[in-house]
Amino acid sequence: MLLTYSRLGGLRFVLCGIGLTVGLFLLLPILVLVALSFGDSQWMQFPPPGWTLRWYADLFDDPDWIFAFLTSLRIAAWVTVLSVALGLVTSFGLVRSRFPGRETVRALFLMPMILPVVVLAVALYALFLRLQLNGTELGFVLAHLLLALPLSIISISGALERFDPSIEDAAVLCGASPMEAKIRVTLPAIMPGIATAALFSFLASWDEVVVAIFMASPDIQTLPVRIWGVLRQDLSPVVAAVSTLLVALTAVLMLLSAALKKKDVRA
Amino acid sequence: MTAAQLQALPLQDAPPTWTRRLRGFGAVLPALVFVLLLFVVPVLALLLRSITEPTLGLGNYAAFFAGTTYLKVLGNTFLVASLVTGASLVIGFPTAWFLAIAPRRLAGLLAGIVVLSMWTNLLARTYAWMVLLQGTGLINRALLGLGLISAPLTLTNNLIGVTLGMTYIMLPFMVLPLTSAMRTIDPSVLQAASLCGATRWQCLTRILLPMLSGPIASGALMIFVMSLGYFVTPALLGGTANMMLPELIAQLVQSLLDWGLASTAATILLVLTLILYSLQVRFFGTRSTA
Amino acid sequence: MRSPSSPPSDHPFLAIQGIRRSYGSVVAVEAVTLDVARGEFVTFLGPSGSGKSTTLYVIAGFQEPNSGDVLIEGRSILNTPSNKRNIGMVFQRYTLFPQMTIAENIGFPLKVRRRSRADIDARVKVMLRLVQLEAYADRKPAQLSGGQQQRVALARALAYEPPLLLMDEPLSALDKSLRDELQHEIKRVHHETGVTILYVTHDQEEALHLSDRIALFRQGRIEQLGTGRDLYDAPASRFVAGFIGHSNFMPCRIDRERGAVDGAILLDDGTPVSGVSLAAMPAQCERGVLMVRPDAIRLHNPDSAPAGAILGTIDEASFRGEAMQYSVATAWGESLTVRTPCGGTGRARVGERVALAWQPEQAQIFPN
Repeated sequence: MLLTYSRLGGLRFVLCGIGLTVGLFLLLPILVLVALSFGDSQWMQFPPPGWTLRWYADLFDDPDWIFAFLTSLRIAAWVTVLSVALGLVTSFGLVRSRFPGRETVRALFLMPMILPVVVLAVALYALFLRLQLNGTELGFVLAHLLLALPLSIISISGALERFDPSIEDAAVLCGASPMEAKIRVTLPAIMPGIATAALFSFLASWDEVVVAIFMASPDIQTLPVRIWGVLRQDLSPVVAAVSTLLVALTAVLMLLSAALKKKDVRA
Repeated sequence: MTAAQLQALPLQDAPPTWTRRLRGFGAVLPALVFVLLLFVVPVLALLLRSITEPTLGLGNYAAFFAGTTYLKVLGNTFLVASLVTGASLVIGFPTAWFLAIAPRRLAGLLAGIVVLSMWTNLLARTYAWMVLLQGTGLINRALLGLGLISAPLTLTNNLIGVTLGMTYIMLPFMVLPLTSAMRTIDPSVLQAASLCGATRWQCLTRILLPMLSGPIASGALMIFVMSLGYFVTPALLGGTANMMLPELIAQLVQSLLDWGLASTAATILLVLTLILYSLQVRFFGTRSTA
Repeated sequence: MRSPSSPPSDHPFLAIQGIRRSYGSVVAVEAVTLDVARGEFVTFLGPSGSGKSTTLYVIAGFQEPNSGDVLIEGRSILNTPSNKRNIGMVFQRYTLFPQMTIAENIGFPLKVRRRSRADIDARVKVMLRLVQLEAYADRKPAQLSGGQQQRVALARALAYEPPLLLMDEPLSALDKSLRDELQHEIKRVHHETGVTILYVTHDQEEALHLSDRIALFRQGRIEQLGTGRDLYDAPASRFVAGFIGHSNFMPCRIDRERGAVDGAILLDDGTPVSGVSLAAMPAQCERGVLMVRPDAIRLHNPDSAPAGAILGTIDEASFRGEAMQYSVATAWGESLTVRTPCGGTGRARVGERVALAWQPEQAQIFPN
């Protein structure tokens, strides 16, 4: 009764009302962002008195924004590549072999995800001060890789666990060398997991603020650091334009991920 | 292992030879070295600084717990985390309920919104709330327009702002797991209960809620732990009067350069997180893989 | 110095010589020795944990034996890696490559052997026809039923014409009617291709239906090797008798005092049993079990029973289609199962007193 929508009676309308309100609550900020980015009010009037593309023009004219965007993209690309490569090798080790202490090692790999990021950020900041890596792209890549690696390991080892190793054995008996079997049979089969790992790794770096705030220098800023810096001073509508672009990117990646998930389940 | 068990195991699960074990360990070695050097060592080094700087001893901890300043931050951290957890629970439960049983298209739409909001850049979301909640923001104008208030309310840089902004961020972490937990419940259980004579209220409190107590508690604990360590949203939406531990740590390092005290606060935060997290693993089994 | 290569006919096609495989203190295969002729269908039958699959994995190259050797046409294959052994294998689970089409799956072994495109296409066509799945060439494995997937796995394993095909419980994941269908299919393919097959199963009906010879495994050894008929009619041990077909076991005593062949066996209720050979019993053995198949026992009216019949009471009667099955309580407390063909003689009723008798040569005695 309580779990059958059509038999809920009056309660149905209460639940429906709550559901729609929450939906609106969740959607409101996103809609506001988009509206503001096209609104011509400097002071964030809502609803905007008129419409303009000025903030987007400002955004693309400002070399600092472009630079931050490119820096973020470069760092996220490196992190994605390294995180997937390292995650792939590590997942094979974790899933396919039984060495003593395997569970401990697995738990250790997931730890950076559980720890409050601020603790990690401060710890890395202290280390990088010594190694003079603060304010370098290498520093950003290493730090973000630490945050991306657990996500990559979870996605890839999940896919690998769902893949029956007998299939790889079958390929070997068919005449493929063990390496050939991995490349031609196992890798394509776990590709959705690898793609998910890449997606999560990219986002982990692309959206990362806390560690980046500590490590950034005036010479090198990622996009989130730049947004953070602007927000601490005033609520510029240019941020709305940036945010809208980020929401668009999110929506695209989300659809991509949904497609991947579908494929992974089917495989 | 008995011979019978051995036989039942698939090929790859057969007890490994030494070479195979070494090969497996070799595969995790690069990542292990990386995590040891960039995670274990720096975190341990940071924790160590809480008892070595400026002098060896527990002086930093004494200082932390002596005055009211830091205790107030600690109290605030717990207060905000509790409020956010409570709000997520109260809003999240009916939402998940609706999502679990609503007609497919409606549920799909709402689920899409939940996931979209969860995936949207954190700063973008926080920025949107800053705009919405400011004195001339949409919320205040709506309330003024409806005649509910006569002067704009202060909604940012205080507890209201942090709680609202953080609840917005944490809500999906309650709604999504709870929805899937509810979907696994067979509706005929409730039909059986009402055939047994249970009223609707009894069905809810005696059957449905107990069946969901695990996922609810697990989700609440997860949100609580995550809220304790949150930095960005409290820093932007909260005021100085409601500072939380993560922001304190950042300030101690960036503005005051007091590494000893910063490490102390970090250690306290870390220990709290690990205790709560191990409770989560212990009582609810699975690691939360958000 | 190389030994002069001898013609293949001097050697059995496949020779398994004293294979032993242990994991620490657990011995999976104790000692397995077996020769298989070219084109033969040999089944490894046995309970789980008896070492049959491990033996198969050793031949496939997934496990290394601690000692012993495996030879194909007189040459050891142990130092050849799995992918160079040119052996086909069908696994228990469906092991099709999920992202490839059916045709690509079957063509895979040829592709890794660097055959030409045209060669592969032609061969794939032949194999698809062999397993009667021509219409499914472009489907993905997930779109096929379990039975179809195993047929594709069979086609893939035979695509490169391996002289030896290993099958590891290939039907155990399928339901009953599909199993029967695929058994026919496997038999037909064996007949058409002439490939040598080693087949692992724990299902005795499957083994009896498919095999030329059955190797019955027990605790890492081959307990008995022979045709299904041999194993059924002349089981070498109580274990074999219990594993193949249904059997009644009656505890009995051997009275050495009487010495003679006749009347030396006494059932526990004192009934003497005559005509059973004691050749299988060790000289000192005093106790044994007498084995009689349920369909070898005849029911008689107690008043007109032949000499040496056992008396009992029917405590259960059930109709099994082509036969009636009775459970008969005996004087020593155990029940015996009796199967009589339906039709002809009238049926016995529950509670009725009956006498049981069998031809002496249809009973066997084993050490207890």
